[in-house]
Amino acid sequence: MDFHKFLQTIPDFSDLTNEQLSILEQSMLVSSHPDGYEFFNENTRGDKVYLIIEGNVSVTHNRGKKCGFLEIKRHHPGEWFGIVSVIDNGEHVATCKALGDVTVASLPAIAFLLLYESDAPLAHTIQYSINRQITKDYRALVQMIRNVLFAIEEGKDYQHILNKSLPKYDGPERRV
Amino acid sequence: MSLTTQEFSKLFPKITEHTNSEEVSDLIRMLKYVSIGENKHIIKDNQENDTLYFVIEGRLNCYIEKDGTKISIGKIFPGEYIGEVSMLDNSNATSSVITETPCIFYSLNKTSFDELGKEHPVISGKILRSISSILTNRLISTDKLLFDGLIVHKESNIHHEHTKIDSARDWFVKLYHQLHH
Repeated sequence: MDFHKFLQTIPDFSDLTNEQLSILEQSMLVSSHPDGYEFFNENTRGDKVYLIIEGNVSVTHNRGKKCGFLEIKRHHPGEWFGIVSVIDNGEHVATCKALGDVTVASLPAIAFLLLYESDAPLAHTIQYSINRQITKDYRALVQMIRNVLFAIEEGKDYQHILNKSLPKYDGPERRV
Repeated sequence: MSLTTQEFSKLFPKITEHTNSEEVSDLIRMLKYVSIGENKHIIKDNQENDTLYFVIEGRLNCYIEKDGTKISIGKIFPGEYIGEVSMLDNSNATSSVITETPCIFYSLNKTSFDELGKEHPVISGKILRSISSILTNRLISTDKLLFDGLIVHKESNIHHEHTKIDSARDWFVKLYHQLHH
C-alpha cells in the first residue's frame, strides 16, 4: 500500500499539507510482521509509537497469577499503539502482538520530539491524534462503570452487565 | 484576581510540567477569568461541553445522572480541572459539575485552544502531552483498581446481598471518581 495515500485517509490528518504528509512519511519506518510477532512486552520501556497500516494488533495484559494474560482490546488500521513511549517515556502497560500479517509505520519518540522543532504544527497534529485515541479508551471505561452504577441504582443485575462488558478471558496466552 | 505564572504552575503542576515560565505566561494570556456563585451548573452530564475549566477557588460537587437518577461521584477542589475530555474529543461531558460554594476558574474553550494550537503549537502540544499523560495515568490506575477489586469481590465472604450491593456501589463510585480526578 502507498503509505502517503494511507496517511491521507486518516481523518485527524485531513488539514495537513502534502508536504507535511511527506515529512511524516519520511519520519516513519514502514515494516511488515507475521502473525504472533511481539512489538513490545509490558513493563519494557518504549521508544517508538506505531500506526497500523494493515491488519490487526492484539493488546494483552497480565492480570496476575489467577487470570494470566488477558486480551483487553484489538487495534485496527489507522489506530496508534505504544502511545506511552511518546507521552512519559514510560513503560508499556500491555503487550502488543500481530494478529495475522500486520503492516505498521513506527515513529521513534526522539523523531517525534524533533518534529516540534522542524514542523511544530505537524507535531501538534500528531499529538492531537494520539490524544483522541486516549479519550476513546477513557470513554470506553467511563461508559462501562456508568452502566454498572446505574444498574445497581435501578436494582438490575449489575454483575451480568459487568460480566458482559468485561473483556473476554482467554486464559494464559502462549508466549512467542 | 490574576495568577502569576508561578502560582498557576504550583496549582496545576501536571498541566505545566513540560512548559517553561514564558510558555505558561502565554497560556495564561489565552485563559478567561470566570467567577460563579454557588449552586450553578458548570457542565451537565451527557451534554455538549467545549470548555476546559481550571479550578482556582471554591468547592464543587460532581455527579452523574440518567432519567432523573443522580449518583454523587465526589467533590472537586482548587488545583483540579473540569471538561478536559469533552474539550479534546468534541463530545459530551461524562458528569455534571455544580458549584457548592462561590468559585473562581480560568477557562479555555475549544476555539481558544485551537487558536493556541495555531499561534503556539509547541505550547499547545505540551499541554496536550500533559493532558494525555494525566488521562493515561488515570486509565492505568483505575483499570488496575477495577481488576484487583474484581478478584477481591469474587473471593469475598460477604453473603448478605444488600451488603454486597452497597459495597459494590461504593466501589464503583470510587472507580468513577478516580477516573475523573
